[in-house]
Amino acid sequence: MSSERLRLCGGIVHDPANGIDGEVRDICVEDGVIVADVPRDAPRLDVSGMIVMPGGVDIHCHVASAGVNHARRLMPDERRHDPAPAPQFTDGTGRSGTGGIVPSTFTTGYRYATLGYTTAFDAAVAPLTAKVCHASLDDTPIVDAGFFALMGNDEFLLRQIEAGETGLARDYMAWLLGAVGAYAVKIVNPGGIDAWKAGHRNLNTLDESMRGDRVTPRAILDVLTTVANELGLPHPVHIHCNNLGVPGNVATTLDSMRVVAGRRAHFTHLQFHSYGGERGKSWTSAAAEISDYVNAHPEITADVGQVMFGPALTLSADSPLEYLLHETTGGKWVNLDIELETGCGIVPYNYEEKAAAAALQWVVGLELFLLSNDPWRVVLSTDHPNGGSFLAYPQLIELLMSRDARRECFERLNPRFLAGSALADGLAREYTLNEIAIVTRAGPARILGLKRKGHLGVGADADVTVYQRSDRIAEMFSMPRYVLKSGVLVVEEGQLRRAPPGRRLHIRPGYDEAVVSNIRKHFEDFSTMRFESYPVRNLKDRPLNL
Amino acid sequence: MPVSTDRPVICLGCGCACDDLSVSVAAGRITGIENACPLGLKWFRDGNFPAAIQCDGVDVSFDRAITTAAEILFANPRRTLIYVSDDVSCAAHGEATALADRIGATIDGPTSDTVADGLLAAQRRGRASATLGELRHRADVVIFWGVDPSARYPRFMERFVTPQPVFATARTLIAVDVDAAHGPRVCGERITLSSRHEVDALSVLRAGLRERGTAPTEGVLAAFVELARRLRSDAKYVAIIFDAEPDDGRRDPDLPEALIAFTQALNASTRAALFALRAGGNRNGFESLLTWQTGFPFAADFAGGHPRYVTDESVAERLSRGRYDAVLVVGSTVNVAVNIAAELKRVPTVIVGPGASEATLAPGVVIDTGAVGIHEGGMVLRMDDVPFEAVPLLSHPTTAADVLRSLSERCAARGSLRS
Repeated sequence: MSSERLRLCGGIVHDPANGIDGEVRDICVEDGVIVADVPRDAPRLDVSGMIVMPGGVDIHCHVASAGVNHARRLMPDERRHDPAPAPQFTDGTGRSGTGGIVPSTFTTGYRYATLGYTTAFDAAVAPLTAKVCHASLDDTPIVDAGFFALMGNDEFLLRQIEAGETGLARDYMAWLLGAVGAYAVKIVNPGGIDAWKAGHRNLNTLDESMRGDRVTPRAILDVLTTVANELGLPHPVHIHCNNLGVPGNVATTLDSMRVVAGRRAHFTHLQFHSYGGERGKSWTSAAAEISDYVNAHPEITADVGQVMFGPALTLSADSPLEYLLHETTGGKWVNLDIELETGCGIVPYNYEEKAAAAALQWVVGLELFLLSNDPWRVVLSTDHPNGGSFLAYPQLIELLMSRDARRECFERLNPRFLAGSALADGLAREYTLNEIAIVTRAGPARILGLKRKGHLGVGADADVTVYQRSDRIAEMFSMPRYVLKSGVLVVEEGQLRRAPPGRRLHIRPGYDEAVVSNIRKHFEDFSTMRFESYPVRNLKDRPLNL
Repeated sequence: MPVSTDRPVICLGCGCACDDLSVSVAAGRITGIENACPLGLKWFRDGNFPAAIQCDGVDVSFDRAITTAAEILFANPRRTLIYVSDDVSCAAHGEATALADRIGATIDGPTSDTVADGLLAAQRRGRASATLGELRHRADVVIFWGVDPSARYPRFMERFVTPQPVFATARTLIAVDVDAAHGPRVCGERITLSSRHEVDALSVLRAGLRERGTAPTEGVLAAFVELARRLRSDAKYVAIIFDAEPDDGRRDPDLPEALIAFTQALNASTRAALFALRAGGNRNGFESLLTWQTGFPFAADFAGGHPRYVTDESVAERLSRGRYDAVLVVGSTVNVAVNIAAELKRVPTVIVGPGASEATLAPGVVIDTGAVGIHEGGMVLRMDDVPFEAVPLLSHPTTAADVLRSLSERCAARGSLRS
């Protein structure tokens, strides 16, 4: 933490959380946080005419899990084409690495920072492998980071749901979050991964079950969302619905949203869940139906999971989905079943403009952005690296801010599935800079319950990004002129100059200690690891106050 | 007295990473170990490891050793190899990788000469696998491909195969006996095969998974046609187990890829997972760490200022053609392959690790350190990449990570070697 003071002078500030939309004002920093003022003799940085925003907050990416590391390993060829030499800092030399769609860890931290992003969450970590995630994050500098723990196919929880033991489920979820140093509860394809491991292809509706009538996707969604809300978690539950990527999955997605009605819930990479049509027959955009529902239900938040044309790597706990993709591509495929908890699948993928399905996916994502009436609740992601790299965010921002940019790209697309889509009919909306500030930092921070992130008010972490104003939107957002992380000037004149370690964002909710004997018994009966071996110990940062 | 049981002791004698041992210590030594197999007992010894610091067999100060080591390793750093061996933590792996990055050396380890074929095959094709708990709980058919785990992985069967599965009503054990490499005696079914036909047999199995296969129906491979039919129609979760690091080096280089391809193909009709038996010493930990720091699981050459994947030759091959002028061995040398040990006698060598002063390599700098899981804590990975946190049982004055940090600092004091 830097004790240095700094006054950013004369910038055009976009701080939507504090109602500031393009006002010229100074931002003052002391001891790593935003303060109201600093003495007149404090160092000054002239950012006159430049755009000042809070540091970017990535609500959903895959950067540090054990699965990400398997994905990294799977793509040696693309690394040869993207070497990342060690950056020269003001106080020494950084670490070299490799890039590609899933960069090595140090390179990941550096690239996020030079993009103006200072906070990121790995959205899917098997608790059994959490130690690997923490160690990877220790080697991912600059960004403050945390992860979501996969629970939607957890054996202990499925057994409690079957037995109607909601109280035990609640205490287990609280225990698990604290035991592995996680930040939020993640549900991926509820019940479907369990079914896959049991030899079935998938679950196709919310009422199917492979282990008795009581353990359905509907029940899993209901119990885990209820519990996460009861626990008062800062980010209650992060849901990857059943039937990802399947034509006609809009019905499942809307059904899932109705299950959690009235309770806070976040639906992730919504683009992959907003298709009409029928499997094997037709494929259409259902973004309008989804947007209508989300717009009318303030308890629901979402990130889009935009696909960007070019190479990607699909990586998910949703192993049945990944097998489906493997059947489609016929190429590399990794499947790793993870005992008692979840699965993991990896398939390299390429989104091509001339591929009808990819064109539709691109359109659906943009429609979700453009039809949303509340940017605070529908925020930006590419589900990195599933829909494309986080490095593509500037291009995505340009698509949101420029109708011309969208039209230019749209004209190149395979039109097969695009008839009747809202975007084909022309959506005139262009995001403002303030709306971009909302969907890339203020909104994600609020959805995540991070009170000190995503804004520039007094007491906020001094994570600040300064852009050189330009009409070339993608270029502007690709190369911030300055980036402060916890008050440390990490990017100067567009160059990475410092790389302090990031902080770990995790929580430790309270629970009834009585549950521990049940969990211990579960480990004794089923685990290949002793109960005492399971928790993550000695995290360098304290859990956030709840 | 037994060590407090609130933190399990982890054994790295093989890749099973058993954490159900009970260890007693007294007067700075291990006096008793319960639940350990013979390999585990051998690995822990009595916990009393040497703590020497020597140059050419003569005791020297730590500072003198670091100075001499720096002279050896940094003289021509792009021609230095950092060879990461066994029994050090991922923290030490990280320091070793940082040093390689700083000086432009190559970093590699036993993987290069043992399991590289399998890792490269998995990079070409992917793989279908699982953590060992899925084998224990879910597999209703277990195929041992030319291996009986009892010799090199003594508790593998009792921990992961023999227990009654939770999600299967019964379990069929099948041995594919390859030459003299037989599966466990307990297997109820056996197929005998020559190593010359292993890859062919797996091709037959794959073909047999198709409804209209073109596989042979007689001869030595006919049994595999029937096996494929049964797996396709009857099995729910097939576990295939093979030794990724066989002692005798017996290996058709195409075998790992054939095993991967067959396991993947099986998933069209059932679930199937391939389990690679791996040695202990936290080798999986090094591959995992090197992957997240560089993108590559082994063989990273930093000479160009960034990691480059140099898989065309193994460490032994590179050493034998004189690629390196100096070698830093990080970790125990107990399991360093004979051919590599022979090559190391011809190159100035620095050894930093548990039992370094007991190594029978050529004289050079040796700095004894503690072993992870005995004297040091830190993350270690099981053969299926499941992480554990090792607990120190005894004290040792030196850790490998600290020595490597000192070398890095000495390097920094000399200025960048890379520019």
